Amino acid sequence: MIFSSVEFLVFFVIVLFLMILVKSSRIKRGILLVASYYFYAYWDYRFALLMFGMTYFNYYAGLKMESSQTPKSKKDWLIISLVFNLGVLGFFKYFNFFIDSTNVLLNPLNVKLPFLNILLPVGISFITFEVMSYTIDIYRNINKSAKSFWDFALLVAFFPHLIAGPILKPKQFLPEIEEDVIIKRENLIYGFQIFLLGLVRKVFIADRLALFVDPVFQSPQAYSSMTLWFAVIAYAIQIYCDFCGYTDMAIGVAKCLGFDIPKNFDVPYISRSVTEFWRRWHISLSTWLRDYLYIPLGGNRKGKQRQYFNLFVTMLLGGLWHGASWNFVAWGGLHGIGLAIHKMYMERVQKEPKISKQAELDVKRPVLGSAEQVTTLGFFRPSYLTSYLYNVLAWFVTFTFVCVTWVFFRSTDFSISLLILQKMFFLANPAGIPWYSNSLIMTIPALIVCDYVGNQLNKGVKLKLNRFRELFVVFFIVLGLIFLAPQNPSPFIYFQF
Amino acid sequence: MKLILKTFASLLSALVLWEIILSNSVVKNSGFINHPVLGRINKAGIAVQGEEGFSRIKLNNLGMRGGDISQKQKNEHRVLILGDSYTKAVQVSDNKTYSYLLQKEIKNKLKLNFNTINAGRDGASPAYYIHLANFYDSEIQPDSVVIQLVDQDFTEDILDKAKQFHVVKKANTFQTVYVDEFYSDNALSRLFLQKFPKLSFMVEYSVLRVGGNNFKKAMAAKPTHNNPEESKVEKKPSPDYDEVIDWTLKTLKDKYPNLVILYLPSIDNYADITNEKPTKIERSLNKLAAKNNMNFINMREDFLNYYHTYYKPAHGFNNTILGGRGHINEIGHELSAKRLANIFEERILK
Repeated sequence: MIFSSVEFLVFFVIVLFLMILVKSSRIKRGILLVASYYFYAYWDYRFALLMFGMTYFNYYAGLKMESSQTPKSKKDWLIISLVFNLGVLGFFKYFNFFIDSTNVLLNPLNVKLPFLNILLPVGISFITFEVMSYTIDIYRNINKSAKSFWDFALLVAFFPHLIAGPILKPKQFLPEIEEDVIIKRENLIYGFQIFLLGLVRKVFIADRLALFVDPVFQSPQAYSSMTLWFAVIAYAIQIYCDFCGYTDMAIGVAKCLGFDIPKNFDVPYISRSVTEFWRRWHISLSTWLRDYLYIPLGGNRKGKQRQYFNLFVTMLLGGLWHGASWNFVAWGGLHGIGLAIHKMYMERVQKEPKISKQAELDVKRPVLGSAEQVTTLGFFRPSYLTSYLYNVLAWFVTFTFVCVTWVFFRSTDFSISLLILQKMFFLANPAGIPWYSNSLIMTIPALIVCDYVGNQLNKGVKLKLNRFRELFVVFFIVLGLIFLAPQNPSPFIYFQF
Repeated sequence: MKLILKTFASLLSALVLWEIILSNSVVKNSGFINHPVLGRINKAGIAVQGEEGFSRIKLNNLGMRGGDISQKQKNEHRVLILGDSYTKAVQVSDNKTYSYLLQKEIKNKLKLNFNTINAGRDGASPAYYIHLANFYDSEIQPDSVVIQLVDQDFTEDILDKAKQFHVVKKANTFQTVYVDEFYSDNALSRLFLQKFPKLSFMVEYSVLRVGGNNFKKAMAAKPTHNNPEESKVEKKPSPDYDEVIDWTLKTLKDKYPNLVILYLPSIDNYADITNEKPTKIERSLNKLAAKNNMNFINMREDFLNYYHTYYKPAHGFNNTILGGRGHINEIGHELSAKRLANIFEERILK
């Protein structure tokens, strides 16, 4: 059941209707929990059993940690929960990848380990990170355990974010669950508009671009270098609109039900560095990786070299989190290298000031057009860093880097990624079908409008839906979705993670 | 009450605006009429198509692409071109169809009063051309006839009883059938014509046609998965079409004088194109056309050679689902026109 399907709309209307009918917040939470499990079991009932098991175990581990008398016992329970969670994730997601990679190593010995027929539960990576953040926060005393098992179960299973995030911080979201659940008219109107924006991103932009991207990535050898470049750019837009569209719909649905889910994207393709990109892209994951991986690894506290290494390892594992394939390892690794290089570059550019008398005066009374300006961190920044040309160049380099790394993310096989990159950079025969799908031209203005509208909605600007003009806009968009939707809806890309 | 009125007015305004947008960019149908001989054909008028390529075309009173057909002149060499949607070619503009390009080429080269009549019809098959041969002969009086064929003519259409004209097997031979009480190929149109005949004019509105079809597909569609296990389809052994192909070719040859068969193969430009092999239908057509001593043009070599030289496929458009697949594009039309022009030039000069 995907958000952009008719089945989901029927499901959601029923849930909403029940929530309006019922007065008691406790029963409302019960309805939400049952609905969330139904939503998940719709794929496969066994998934729901697994999720219940993970929820129960982590709730129990949380209680045990909280009631631990000694730090050692607390730590033991944390380790048990981590081993359990990572064990589940590792088994379902990485077991066959591990066997495959081992078989490659054992090939000279003519040994072949058998694969297991494992069904990958939808959204297992998100669920694992959600429950892990709960237990780690309890260990760190950032958060207390949930007031009841059912509240925690709802945090994990809450259907708007269940399959593809955002990964909610228990500290933020548990209090929301524990409060009264009230369905308000203004929330419904606001939530509907955010949902509609997500639907436009998904149906009008992402699904339409998929019609161009999919065949090109399926047979890259048949297409020209230029077509591959266009397809990679189209994929960059597709994955953004697909995932951001999903998040918008999740935020909209949650808002209708009276919950606030934080935003997961902040116009990432305007970034002028890889560091900025990760502040704007999949915010809940990058925050999770920072809080639960980068900082425990030592962050920037153990010297420069170690910081670069930590950045690399964090992103490498972040890449692997997306899927069991060398493509994701390469994608994460490249981003790790990108972040480390940017860090090094910024440290070289933003040197500590050699304070002279004149410079001190300049800092106190900044002169427009002076050779150096002071940054908020107290470092000197050369003026070219703020120039228009530098910023355009920085954006171009960042966007190109991000697009090139998407090749690994999208390709089905590592060898295909290499073939695409070779063709893109004219290292292989660049000839092929020059297919310039006009969906790319159509969707770029739509993307800009969507990002603008998204920004306005984030600021709280919304249509009131009681005037002709605003009703017309909504009807025009809804009808447009019906008329211009591609015939074959694609599943959300992040559902596979 | 005021809010209800506002809602209704805004919905209606949005629909009107979408009607204008869709009918000028996606699809505009001129509607259908029941012709006493030709069956259910397009009404005369303007049609727009923008889902595969783009064109805005004029349809004449026989539902054919182009203006009304004038009385044949004394010195005129008239070529009737029969085929399905590949010949009607609503994906390309009027001056890009192979029918028009053939006429232009011969006119320019031989300075003759040489005219082609594009009688391409969506979803048509040889059953249509056989059944309507006498009508075309008396109405159009062609000097030569080109019949365009594709694999689907035999794998899907000719024996399909849901088509208004189709073929059934009788003893050791075949026979064409005309279904008098025929509604439409389109499910939405059929629904309106059968259940609400008085409202059937509504299907001509682009918003209803596009919206209805999309809604139906959305209800039926399942999201595509990348699981190769799910996409495995059990392959059935393909039936033997030789008998029906042989009968078709012989009957067409009997019915139409100076016949040229134009075969348009479907080529998968994504697979290893050097290993692209002719289909079973194509092999049968090659063999049986030669056996029946027919003028037979197979465009395979032309399409492949062009692709190998310029890396441009003869099928597909930028706005189609798969670039390089679908109907033939401007290149396909140009190459087909060239091959046909060679035959006609030779024939006329003789």
